Amino acid sequence: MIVLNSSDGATFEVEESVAVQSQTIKHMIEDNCADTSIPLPNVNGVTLARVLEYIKKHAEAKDDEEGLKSFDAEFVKVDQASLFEIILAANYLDIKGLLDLTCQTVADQIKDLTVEEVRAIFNIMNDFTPEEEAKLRNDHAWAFE
Amino acid sequence: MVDWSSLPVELLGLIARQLRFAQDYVRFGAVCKSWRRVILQRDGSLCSLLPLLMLAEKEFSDLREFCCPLTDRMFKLYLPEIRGKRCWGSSDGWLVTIGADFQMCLLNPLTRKQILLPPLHKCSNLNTLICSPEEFRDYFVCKVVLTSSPASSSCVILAIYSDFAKMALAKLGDESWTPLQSSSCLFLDVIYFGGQLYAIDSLGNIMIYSICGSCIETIPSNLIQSEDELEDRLLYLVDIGGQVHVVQRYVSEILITQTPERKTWKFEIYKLEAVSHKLEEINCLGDWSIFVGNNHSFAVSTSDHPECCSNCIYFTDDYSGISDPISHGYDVGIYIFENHKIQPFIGEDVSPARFSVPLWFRPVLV
Repeated sequence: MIVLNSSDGATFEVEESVAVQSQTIKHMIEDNCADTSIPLPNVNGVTLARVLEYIKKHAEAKDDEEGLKSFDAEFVKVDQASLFEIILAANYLDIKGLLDLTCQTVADQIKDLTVEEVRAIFNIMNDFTPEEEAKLRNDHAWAFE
Repeated sequence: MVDWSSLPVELLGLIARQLRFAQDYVRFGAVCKSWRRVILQRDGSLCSLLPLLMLAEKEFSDLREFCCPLTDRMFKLYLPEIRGKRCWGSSDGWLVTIGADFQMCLLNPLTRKQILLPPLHKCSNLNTLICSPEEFRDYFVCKVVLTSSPASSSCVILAIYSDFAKMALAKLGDESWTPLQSSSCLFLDVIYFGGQLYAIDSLGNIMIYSICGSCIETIPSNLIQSEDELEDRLLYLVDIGGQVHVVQRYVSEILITQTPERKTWKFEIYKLEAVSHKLEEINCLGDWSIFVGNNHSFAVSTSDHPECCSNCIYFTDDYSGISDPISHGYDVGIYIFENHKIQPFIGEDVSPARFSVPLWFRPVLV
């Protein structure tokens, strides 16, 4: 068993065979940095718990393609802030499947939205000047119809 | 409060990579400055937009329709600069165009940038040109392909002309075309592969040329046994996964309503073995779909583009309209390799401009 410490002091136990889905953790174990526990200062407890849920499911149900598909679909039904944290965590922990899944989720959400809707939902400030924005829309008017 | 605009650029890139339809990709870049920087990166691996079908010119309109049959979406671009011009598609975001004034250009329809090409009608292997500029555009020039992005140093433009008997190449910035060593065959397709040019003639023989125009090697084939078969076969060369393949397209006359129409009914694909140079028929494309017709033949990996149908051939009309008037629609569709069935694309009126036919083209934003 491997012990993981989140940035805010929470502790998690997980089987090594499951934990190595994270290339980051895998390299730490190989480099013998995992004597007592592995500190993960870039991931908070709530997010780490979610990530562990993902890798545990993907370890135990490895061959059940249909089951994993529906698990993944439910897994990403979270609020924007959590999705953001999971993407960063998946990147830091180097878990390809989770990173691809979360990025695809964001892309699928963006596809159906107008630019204004994206800004609202993702809480992004429009930092273009009115002139810059007008030029952008003018250059590619076909994309904004 | 999370700040999505501060997501590291490589992660924004991973998200942008999933936006394979041109409109979504452009809108992504309109959200804020950091998102815009991501889509303007010149790194080719970042932008993997879906191929589009550019429909033929419509009468009385400067708008050209681009549809993505793979997703049923479409948009129109205002492109008065290609009205009256014959175009060929490519996988690198630029079209090759030729007008009724001998002028040849590259055009990126998304940015409307144009690059002028040297005059083909002044190529040294053309002695006296006896056709009019319209005839030059309509049928004297047979096929012109852009082999890679103009941003790449190895970008070569290849032209087949004079009743398929002559070929020439040009690099960007050249003042004139370099003719390829001529022979007595009819060239149907040509690609740039491994620093050399591969051309296929109407009998299926493959000629390899150096970049300065001399013929290095001829690979004989027995794909087509007799002259009789020439009428109904078209041949293309495609680079699929780093290996040259030959695509053989069978066309025959089918009675549609009362009028016989030439339509595609079958495809065969052969892999050119790198060492033995033998052609081996393959019956599965695996994770690839290929696009042939009025364009530089190209292949798309369906693992990167799941919207594309794997093991399929997307084809357009590149043989009719010039000599025979098309009455009932273009020969455009998808050939499903698995069951050898064809799904035609229908519902498009034939353009009164006979030189204008639908083409496949993969857009690039920068």
